[in-house]
Amino acid sequence: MDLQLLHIFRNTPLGRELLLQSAYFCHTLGVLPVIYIPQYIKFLMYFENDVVQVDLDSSYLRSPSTAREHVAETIRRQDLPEPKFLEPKNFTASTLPDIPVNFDFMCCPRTVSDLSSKIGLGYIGPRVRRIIHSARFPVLIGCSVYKPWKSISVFFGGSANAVKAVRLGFRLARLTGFPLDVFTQEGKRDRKYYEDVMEKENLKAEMDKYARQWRVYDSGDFIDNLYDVPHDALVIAGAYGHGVIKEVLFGSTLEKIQTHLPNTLLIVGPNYRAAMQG
Amino acid sequence: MARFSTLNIWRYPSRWILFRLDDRLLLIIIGAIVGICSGLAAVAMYQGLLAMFNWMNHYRGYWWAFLLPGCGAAIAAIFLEKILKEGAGHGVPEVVYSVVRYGGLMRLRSSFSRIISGCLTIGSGGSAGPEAPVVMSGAAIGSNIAQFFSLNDRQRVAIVGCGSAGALAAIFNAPITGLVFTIEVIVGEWSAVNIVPIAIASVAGAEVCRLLHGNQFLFSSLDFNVDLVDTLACVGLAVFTAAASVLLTRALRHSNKISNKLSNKFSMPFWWRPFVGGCLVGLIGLALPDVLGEGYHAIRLMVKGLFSQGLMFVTILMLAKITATALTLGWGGSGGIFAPCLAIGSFSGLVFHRFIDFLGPGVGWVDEGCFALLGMAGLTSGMLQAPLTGIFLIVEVTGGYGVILPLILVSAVSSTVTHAFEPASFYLKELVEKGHYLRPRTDGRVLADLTVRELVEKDCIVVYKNMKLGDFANIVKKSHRNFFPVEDENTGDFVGMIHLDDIRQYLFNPILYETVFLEQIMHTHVETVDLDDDLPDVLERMDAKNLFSMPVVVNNRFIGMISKATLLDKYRSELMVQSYY
Amino acid sequence: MQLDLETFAKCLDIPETTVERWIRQGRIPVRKKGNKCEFSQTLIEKWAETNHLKFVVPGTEKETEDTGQDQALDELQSVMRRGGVFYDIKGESVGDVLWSAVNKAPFFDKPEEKKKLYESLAAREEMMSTGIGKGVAIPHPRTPMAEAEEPAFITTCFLKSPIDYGSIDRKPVFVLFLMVSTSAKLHLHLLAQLSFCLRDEEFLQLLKQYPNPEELYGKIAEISERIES
Repeated sequence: MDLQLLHIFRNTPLGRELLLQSAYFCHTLGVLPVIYIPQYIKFLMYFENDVVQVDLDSSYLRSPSTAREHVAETIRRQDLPEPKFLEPKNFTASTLPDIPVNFDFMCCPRTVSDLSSKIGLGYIGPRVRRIIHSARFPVLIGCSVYKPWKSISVFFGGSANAVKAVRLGFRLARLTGFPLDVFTQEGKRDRKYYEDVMEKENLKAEMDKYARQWRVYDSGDFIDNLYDVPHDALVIAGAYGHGVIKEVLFGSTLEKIQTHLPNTLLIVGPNYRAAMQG
Repeated sequence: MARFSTLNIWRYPSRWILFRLDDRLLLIIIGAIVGICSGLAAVAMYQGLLAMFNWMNHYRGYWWAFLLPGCGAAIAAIFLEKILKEGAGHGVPEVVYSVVRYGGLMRLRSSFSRIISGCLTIGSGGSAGPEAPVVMSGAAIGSNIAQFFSLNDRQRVAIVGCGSAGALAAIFNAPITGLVFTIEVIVGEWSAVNIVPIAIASVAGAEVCRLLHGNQFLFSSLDFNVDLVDTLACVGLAVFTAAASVLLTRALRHSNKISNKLSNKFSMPFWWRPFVGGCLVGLIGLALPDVLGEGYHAIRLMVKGLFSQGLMFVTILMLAKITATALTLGWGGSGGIFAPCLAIGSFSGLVFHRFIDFLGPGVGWVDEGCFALLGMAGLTSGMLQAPLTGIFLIVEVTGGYGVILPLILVSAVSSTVTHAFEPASFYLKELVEKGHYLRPRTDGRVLADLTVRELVEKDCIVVYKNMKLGDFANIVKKSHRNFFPVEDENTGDFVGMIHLDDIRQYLFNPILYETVFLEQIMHTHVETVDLDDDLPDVLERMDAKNLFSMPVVVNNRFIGMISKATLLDKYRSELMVQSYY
Repeated sequence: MQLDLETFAKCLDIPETTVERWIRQGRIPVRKKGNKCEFSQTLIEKWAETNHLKFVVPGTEKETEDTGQDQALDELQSVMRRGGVFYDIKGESVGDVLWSAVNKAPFFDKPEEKKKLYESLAAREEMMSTGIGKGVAIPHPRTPMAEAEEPAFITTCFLKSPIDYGSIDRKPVFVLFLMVSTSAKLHLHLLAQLSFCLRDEEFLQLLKQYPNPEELYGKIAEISERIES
């Protein structure tokens, strides 16, 4: 169990739901949760080529006296070992701790900076986006209410990041034994192209082994087809790393997925690297 | 993916064939760009300050003018804390911290935040300097440009240095100072790979300043004829300025502590501290307007020898300036220590001159302006503990190359004497205390870079606690290690260690083979290491307990061993690799 | 040249995390493109050399260069086959039988070589008899014949008439295992295996019947298998 997941705890009912999702994720995959209970309103994460400042909304600092107890209680209920609490060692300024980034997963709500009242579907906060973009770990984006997932759905669009997402999907399927579905929306290219990519990346054998089905849609709107994604699936997708302008003009697939799917998401950023094969 | 990388090829210049073999040319080009940008930032700060001064001048006459510095500092604090949400610090220490810890990664917002808050604080009358804000901005500009071009840590550090050098060169119109300060304080490494781009950036920054402001000395001085007696007197001056440096350092620290205590006691909002500090400065300023702001005007007069007041008054001024600086910076105002150093330095030079003049009126001492100038050098070298920066700064801002001999003397003696009382400079004190001051190719640097993860050896043979000694003896035969981690066979938890030395005598006693279980002979209270532990701490624990190796255990699972033997191996190759460039 | 990070780290024989950090810190002339490392081979070889590291691309000749050290140790049986089995060795004294045994030994053809081996064996006997009891002796040179380029061997010599060899148990010796090995490690290995066999009562009984070579090797193989398990 040397995989670790970073969770930033918010001591509110909403935060508890998210922690439950983290705990479930850790429990199913044998990952050790590392909990950071913020003592300051902001923190920094130094990634390989970017430094991200996360300004939390003030609800993260609520009733620090009960936070530890609440965490321990929730974690224990999921049959996990005692949680590890993260105490920041380094400070950029006296109220600005540096949070290490050498984790294997990180759990984020859809937004960390804005007031929780704004949390709804269809919005991923700018900080969470930047973490996804810079991090080498996949980011687990929870939904507002805890719901255990029983299968895994991967969105495969043919790009390098999508290949990584598929790999991660295989890995999770192997670890959990849950069924895996792969979804592909044909754009300008036909099914052959996607199969070629799979072939080229040596994914074929694993695909046959783990995937329950590979649905390739050649018609219909992407958003309409999202209805086929099981309601209790963990959705894995790649963030494609387009520029800002492209995203505004064409809209990203990720955006559509997270707008219309209430499922728990596991997003693979452009810098994601499977550190350990486990 | 390939599609995007061809589109974005200009964002990855390190992949261009031109720069593949050697990145020096690349660094020089980016360095020049960064130098220009940070030079512009410095000019903006200068203009902002000027505008603020002119605007504030209208209100100086009113009785409530003492509130102005308070308001300025409070607005600056609110701006930093609420609008930009930047945890406020001194500036330069943060740059050094990021260079040391994270290869110079800095936030985008840092590239302008300090300029605005600095303008507010200093322009409204707070006693602080514009240099630290522009150095921070320049460094942040450099860092973000380097991030944009996806440079690696080593290159990014050089570019951050370029930013700070360009900014400093522009604000003082002093290219050599920019270069020397950056190398001495920010980067801390004299190597050709760093010096060349930083020098280019200095030139670019200074050129920007000269194009926009014209080429003039900040404080032009007269020609001084320095005799031997004066040079000897300089030793006294050096000690005197060192004393002033120590006084200023301690005043800053104590006022910071007091303000912290007060605001904790009365649980005041965060902007309360700079407000009160600023108001106190304003009160001093009502009586002695020379202490307000960065104090360049007074310095100009003193260097030219036009400052007419007597010994007592100048002494009071010097102390007042120290107090005002301590109140501004120690109470959470935003700004640098450079300009106050220059002001206090010239005051103390003047005090010293008046004093020796009083002792030996017959001796034909050199003009007091010369002593003011030397005092500045003494105080900057003492405060920053960077003698070269002190020397070059004064030569460049005054054009007083004629006094270079006493200048070197004062700088050297002052920084040495101050060092005896305050081992770490004002900028680096906090970093040194927290163990963040890691210069390239030092023990601390190497140990900070290596992680437990990289050192852990995983080729250990795991044994189980219910294993018989006889079975263990068979395992020992095949193993080439002296340590055996013991696990619980059911839970997989790490329960203890067996060291061959401890059980050697039993190992050759076949009678015990069937009767002794490993559980009975293992060490249970073993010192363990976590994967995320810092190596210096691990080594300290090893030394304290005289251990040569320790097991790495995460969450009750045995991961591997960490030993001093492997450490030496890795340490050496790390040191060599660090010295390659 | 492009390799993925894992292979690249293996080429340098350095942990992946270290290589990754070095790339990030710019301490190694390599660029990273996703999971791939891009570098010029000459540059990296020069870099590795200045830093006392080795850069070996897998599958090239250099890789197999110094792996000879960890070869699996020779099996007792094959070593004994190499030496051969001889019967009716004549001699009245220790020196005589040793000289006769040396004459039977393979690889030592030239007279001066034989003489040298004999002297070395005699010197060892002088220190302390190699008769280990139960009528068996294992003569061997004082130091492993390091200069010998030939492989190790054990020559089994059954004596015509048992002689007094100065054994620990003072029993006359009827069989010699002349053992010449190339390294101390191999010597210990063979000695250990041989003495394991000699502890076996069945094996001793077999020896006393002057078995033919195949019978002897068969028994040895059988016992060796037991050691393995």
